[in-house]
Amino acid sequence: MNPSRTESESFATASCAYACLSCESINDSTSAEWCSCVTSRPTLTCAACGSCFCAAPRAWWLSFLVSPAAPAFRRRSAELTHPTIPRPSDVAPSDLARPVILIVDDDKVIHLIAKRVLADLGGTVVHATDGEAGFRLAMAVRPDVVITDALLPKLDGRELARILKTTPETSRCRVAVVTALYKGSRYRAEAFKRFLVDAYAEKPLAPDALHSLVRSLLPEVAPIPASARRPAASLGASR
Amino acid sequence: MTVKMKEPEERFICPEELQMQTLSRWTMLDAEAFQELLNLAGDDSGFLEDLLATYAEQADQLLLQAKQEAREGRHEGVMRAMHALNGSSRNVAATSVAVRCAAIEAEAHDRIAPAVLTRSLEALDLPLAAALVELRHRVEEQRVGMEQ
Repeated sequence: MNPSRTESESFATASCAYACLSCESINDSTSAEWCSCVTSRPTLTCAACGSCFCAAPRAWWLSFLVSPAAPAFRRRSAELTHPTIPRPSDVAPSDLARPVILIVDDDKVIHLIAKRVLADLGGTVVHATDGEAGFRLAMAVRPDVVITDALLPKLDGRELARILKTTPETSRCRVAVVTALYKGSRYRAEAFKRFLVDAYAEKPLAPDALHSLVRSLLPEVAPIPASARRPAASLGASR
Repeated sequence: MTVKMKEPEERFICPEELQMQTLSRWTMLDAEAFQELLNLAGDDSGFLEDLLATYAEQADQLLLQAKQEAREGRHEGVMRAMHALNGSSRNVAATSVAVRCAAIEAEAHDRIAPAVLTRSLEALDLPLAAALVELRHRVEEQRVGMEQ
């Protein structure tokens, strides 16, 4: 797309505006229709001519994503059906498929990856985005394994581990802390001694490493034959 | 008779467009890491689409938050937001964005002037946009490939 000077000026003044690839009319990304052929993706149509931008060239996407896309992403995110996270009031631990694995991380990308990686364990994967919510959820679902990031909002992940291990209702769960911040033997020793963790791992954690970590904390689970596992993936391992 | 040579047609390219053209030639993703994501997705392109949408939303919020913290001179806030964006970017194979985040996190750790920090954060806008473009295209390629 090669917007005219006038259109460029419109971009500068209206951050939600984007120009149609076909008719060059200016649209508003906060109210435009989603493309009906790709409803699950952040692709918009032109209100004037109805064209969608699924096949738009790279340069158009580049200019689109500089400013108008952010409100569109926010809007799409609000419209997405997110997986239901059990709340303390509506979950009984006995109702959940075991093992129950609680992921506490403020990075929602990790939640999606963990859910995918741990799917073959056949249990329930729940998640929280801060330490306090993680503790409340742990009290509600009595997880078998908790994987928590160290650096968390509201309550530090290592402190969460200590609280979980010293609270009678949750003391039996196995807790692993993963961190990109507290690296090195000193922090590792401190995690085991002071924060009572069962395992300690450094980020980035490859999907296979995450799977192995959880399995190592679930000794009673029968080994899964290698042939039954999904193709090996090692996200982040070499980075 | 003198033949006047026709001068090549020139088109004005604004600095922003030039920067975009440069960026569009970069490879913003770690190919090996993205392949690992593809392996994880298997034949479910919806997984990658959800991952991309989640990352895009999260990255936008974290960058906005970091800029706000920088304007108010809160270096710890910038460090925390950049640390989070660094990790999230690595998880979606946007390694070049992650590397820039780590550099800004280090700048915030060294408590450089808020104005300089703000400039560094503003310079992250385009690499992030370019990484999103590339992710979007790769996911789309993957979806089309599966349908064929």
